[in-house]
Amino acid sequence: MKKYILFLIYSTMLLLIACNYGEKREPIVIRPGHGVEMPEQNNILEDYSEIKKIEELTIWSFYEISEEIKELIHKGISNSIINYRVISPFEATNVYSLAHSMGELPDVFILDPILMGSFNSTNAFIDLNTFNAESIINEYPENLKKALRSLDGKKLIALPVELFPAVTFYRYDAMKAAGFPADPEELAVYMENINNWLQMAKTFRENDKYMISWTYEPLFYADISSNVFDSNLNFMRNTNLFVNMLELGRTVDSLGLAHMVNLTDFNKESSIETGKTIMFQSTFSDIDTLKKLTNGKEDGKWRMTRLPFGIYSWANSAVAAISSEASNKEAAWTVVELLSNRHIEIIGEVMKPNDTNVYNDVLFGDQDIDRLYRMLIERIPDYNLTPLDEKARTIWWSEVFKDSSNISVPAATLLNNCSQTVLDQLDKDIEALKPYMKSK
Amino acid sequence: MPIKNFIPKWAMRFFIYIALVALSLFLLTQPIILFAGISLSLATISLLVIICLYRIRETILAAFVIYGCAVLMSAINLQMGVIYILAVAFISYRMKNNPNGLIQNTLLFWLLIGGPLMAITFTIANGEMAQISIFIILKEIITALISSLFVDILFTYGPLKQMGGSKKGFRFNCIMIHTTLVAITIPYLIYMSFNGYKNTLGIIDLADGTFVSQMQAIESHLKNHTNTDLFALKHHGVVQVSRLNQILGEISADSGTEIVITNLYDMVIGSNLEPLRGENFVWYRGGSVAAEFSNIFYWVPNGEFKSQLEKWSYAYVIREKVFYDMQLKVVIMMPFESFLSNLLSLYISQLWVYLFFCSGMIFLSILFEHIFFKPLAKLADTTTGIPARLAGQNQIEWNKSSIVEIDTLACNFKTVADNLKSMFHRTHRLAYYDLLTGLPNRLSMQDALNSLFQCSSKDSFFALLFFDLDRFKQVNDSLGHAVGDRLLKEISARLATIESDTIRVFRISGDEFVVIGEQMDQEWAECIAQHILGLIRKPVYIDQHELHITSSIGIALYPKDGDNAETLMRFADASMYIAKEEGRNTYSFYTESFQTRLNEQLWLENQLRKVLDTKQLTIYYQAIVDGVTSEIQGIEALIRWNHPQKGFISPSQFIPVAEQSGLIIPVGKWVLREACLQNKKWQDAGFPKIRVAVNLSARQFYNERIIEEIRMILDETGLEPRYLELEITEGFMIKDVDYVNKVLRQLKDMGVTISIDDFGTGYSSLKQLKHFPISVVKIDKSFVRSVGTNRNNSSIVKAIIALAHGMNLKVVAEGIEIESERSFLKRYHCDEMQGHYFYQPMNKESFTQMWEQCMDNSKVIEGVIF
Repeated sequence: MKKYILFLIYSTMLLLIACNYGEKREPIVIRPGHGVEMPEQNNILEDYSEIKKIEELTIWSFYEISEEIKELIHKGISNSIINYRVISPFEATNVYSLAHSMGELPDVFILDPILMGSFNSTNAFIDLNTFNAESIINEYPENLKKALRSLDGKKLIALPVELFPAVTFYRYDAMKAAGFPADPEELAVYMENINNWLQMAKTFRENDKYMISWTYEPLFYADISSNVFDSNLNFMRNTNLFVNMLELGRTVDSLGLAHMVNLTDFNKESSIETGKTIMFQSTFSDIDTLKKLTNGKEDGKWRMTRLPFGIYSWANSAVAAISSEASNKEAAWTVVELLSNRHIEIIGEVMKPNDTNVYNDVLFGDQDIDRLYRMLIERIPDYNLTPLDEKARTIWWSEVFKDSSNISVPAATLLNNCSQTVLDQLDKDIEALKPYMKSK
Repeated sequence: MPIKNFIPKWAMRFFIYIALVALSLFLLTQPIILFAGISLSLATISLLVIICLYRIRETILAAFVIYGCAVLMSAINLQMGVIYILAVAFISYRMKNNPNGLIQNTLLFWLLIGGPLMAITFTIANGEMAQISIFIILKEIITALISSLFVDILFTYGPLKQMGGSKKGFRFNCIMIHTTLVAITIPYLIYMSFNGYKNTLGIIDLADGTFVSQMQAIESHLKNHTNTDLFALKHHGVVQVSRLNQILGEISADSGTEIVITNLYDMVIGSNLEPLRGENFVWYRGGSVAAEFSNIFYWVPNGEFKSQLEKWSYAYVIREKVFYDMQLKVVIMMPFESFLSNLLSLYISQLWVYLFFCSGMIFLSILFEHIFFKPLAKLADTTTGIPARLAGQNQIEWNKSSIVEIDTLACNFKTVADNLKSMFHRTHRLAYYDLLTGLPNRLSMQDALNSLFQCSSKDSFFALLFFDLDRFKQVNDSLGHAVGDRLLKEISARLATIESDTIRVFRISGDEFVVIGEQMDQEWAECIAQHILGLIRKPVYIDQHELHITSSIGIALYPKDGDNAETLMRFADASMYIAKEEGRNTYSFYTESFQTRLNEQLWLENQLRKVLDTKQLTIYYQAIVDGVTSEIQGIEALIRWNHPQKGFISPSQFIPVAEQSGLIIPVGKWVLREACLQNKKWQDAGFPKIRVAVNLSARQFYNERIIEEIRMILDETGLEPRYLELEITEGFMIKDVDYVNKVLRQLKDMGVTISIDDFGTGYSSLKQLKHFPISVVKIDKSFVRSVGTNRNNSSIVKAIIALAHGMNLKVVAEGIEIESERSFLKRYHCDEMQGHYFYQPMNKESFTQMWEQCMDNSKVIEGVIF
């Protein structure tokens, strides 16, 4: 019996060892939330969209959509009730956010592409490639497309509705009379030099004429023409351009060179009508506004050129996006597609290499506005829209205006300080965004 | 009637076996889940019960079934199943030789075999000896230990005691182990439970504290978001999410928590777990909520694990909070592993302590067992059955012990045993040996005879010599018991000299002895008998007395005369009486003729029983005459038996038989009544009023109703007491003096005359008679015989007459047959005489006739010789 027991023990030990041999298991990594198939995002959204009613369509824009456009839209989606709302472009993001918290988001959001930075890193807007939208912008210049994409470039989250480069409207005759270059390009070249521009502004000011509406307009155009951050998230507001523009603004302010009036205030006689404003910066979209203001009385006297100081920018453009929480994405897409196609037709027409006549107008004499458009489109730099742009701008403008008139603080210093303030306040955000930017 | 009476025992055992196996399997597959995956299986208890109740094969079979099924059902893994089976086999085998060592054997296995085997398997499986493995091993050992303790207690004190076949009572070693282990275990279990509960609360508190602080930090961060940032966050804005994740990382950095923030549709917004970002996250997926305390959830993963503990090592403590205003859900998850690790560390240290103490206690108990209990048990064994062992003369070995108390106890027991032995010996001696003489007694003799008969073969033979001391009774009566005893001692001492390996001497009663001679033939028996006679014949000197004693020996031979003790004794006894009849101081072998004599005695006794009813008895009367005038002065009543078939049977034949059988009392009473009645008739008929003398036997005299009966007879017959004389012998005087005196005085007071019959044949003296109310002394006829010519007798008679007269006693001489006797007695003034010379005993008619003639003639008529 003893031997039997001993045998049992030995064989057991061998058995145990044999059983365990080669039985090393991979470490188990089990966490909460795992273990079943994850539903796709679209499914959730679809579920969500099913809950809401689909008979209504809400369109937000930062400008009043023309009746023509509205009619076009109604034709496109006749079975839906369309609600329009105009929101301030300066509060667009905030309003949109608030609307989201209240569950009142629009289906279609038309916004200034400059605000896309606030959305392009989120999934606030759907990927329009689900509707095969990429094909629509095939013909668009690449520098234009970037603003329409998500921050990682993988999604197409907006389509252009109206893309207007920033231009300078000027009185051709006034320039000529003052002995300044009157040809658009020549003038543009001439105005690249700040001193030239300043001289022009002083000259015209002496005659109670104005080349600038607001004191720090140059700074504004420097702002809209420049990325807030470069691709390495360096804050781009203390460059020489901005220093010059700030100093110019101070000079304008000190010399009282700005007219300080709202050119498009139709409630009173505008300074354009009075002839006091002989130059202003705006966007292509204001051609109609100018025509309206001039009312045919100054045909041929106006010309358009690019922005002074060698700045190229978009201004008052609009892109359309579909909210990810839209209850009627199909209808929303119809609207977006419609708006975008309309614009594309226009742009397509303008961009034809042959002579076109989309924007040409007797107001501008024999100037080939379309050509200017084509030129400007090509020269407008890529936008590097980041999620921090809006915040940074807000902080920067706020800081700039604190000491903008304090000439005791040199412009460079002021801008450096402002930049530093921005960086200090946004350093965490910048740090958070940096790795993402590096991995793009 | 209990149902168990209808079920065969084997069926009951089988049923219980199956029930225990099923119970084990059930308990194995349904362990008690304590906190944090720690489970407790009670299956060991029922298995240990099987071990205690059934044989090794049955136990091992049960183990294979139970653990095989458990492995197939994935309740345990294969390695553990094998180890358990091994445990059962080991314990069963050890229990065979040490049925009281359940706890020790269990601990031995798990410490030396089971534990190391488990350690090896875990190390091979995991590549290292993980904390969980250590805990599981310790838990197994402790569970087995506590189970074995429980089962041992059940079988020692509880309802299973009888089933286990335990003896009555409890072993001290068991009590000690149980008491100490229970004293350690119960507080330990309470402490562990309390500690476990406290730790649970502690975990909850710790987790809650962490959760609360982190939740506040998260909430604070979220509330610092602008609407825009919040919107962007909820829409996975890179900056916001990144910032959030960074914050979450900072919050959870020290605690190791995993934080996930989702929208209300469970889409992950941010997390410090990178893989989760952008995914749908529902925390309870992949597992289940094992417990909830104060809104803190204990999540355990699904899936197969080696053990519940391993499962819990992947558990999470989770708190979820919904911020409805921000439409965000925050889930904070804390891996339970760190808590489990701390818990296990605590438990492991506690288990080690418990195991250490238990092992220590068991080791101490083993030590105590060897030093203290084993010697005590040995002492208990040694003292078991002491009476029988002492009686069997077995040598008892008393073990020494180094423990003073045990050694003292052993010494005391030894003393007691020795004393007992002495007492046994003494008692044995008392039982089997005669106290007075030191010879073996009747009981010894019976044992010896039985032994001889049992061991006898066809060649075996032995002789049985039965003898007593002639007239020992007289010596006893006359010289006193003290002298009698010394006489017996002296004789016994002499007889002891003939003892050998084959000859044994027994004193069976009074003055009766038996000698048994193994392989003793007739010739040798004769030799021994003569030697015995010679030994006894030698004078015995006791104080101032020189005693000459003889013996009568009866001899019976085996197998010639009988083949059983009773027959041989009876024949030897009968032979002894023959020897007495032949004159004593001789021996007699049993012959068949003795049987006739025995038969005769038996016949006599039988006839005597009917004698009164059949009126076969008659009274003969013999006149007692005046010593001078020869006139009838009195009458002696003498009993006669006229058997219808046998004719006259002599009183010397039937009186001893009557005495022996006790029939003398009714016979004597009849004689007394008849004599009184007759005397009264004679008186009424005008005859002279004289006394009638009736012999009183010793049996009659010592009958406590003797006075009453005599008074009754006198009343019935109407005879005046003064006309009644009762003759008693000298032997009466010696036995119970006070009683004799009392009776005689009562008789004297009644008016009855008392005479001493056969005076001179006993060992009493006239001086002794002075103290008793005696009136008459009757000289025995042996002294009267040839009194005229025999000088000795003459001297004795003269002395008796002179002394008696000096004491105012009347002297009557008996047995006068010739003239010389008469004249001698007359010369020396014997008061009265009796004998054939004067009158023969005659029936009442003849006596009446004779008396009438005497009265007529007033002279002595020579009796008719009958």
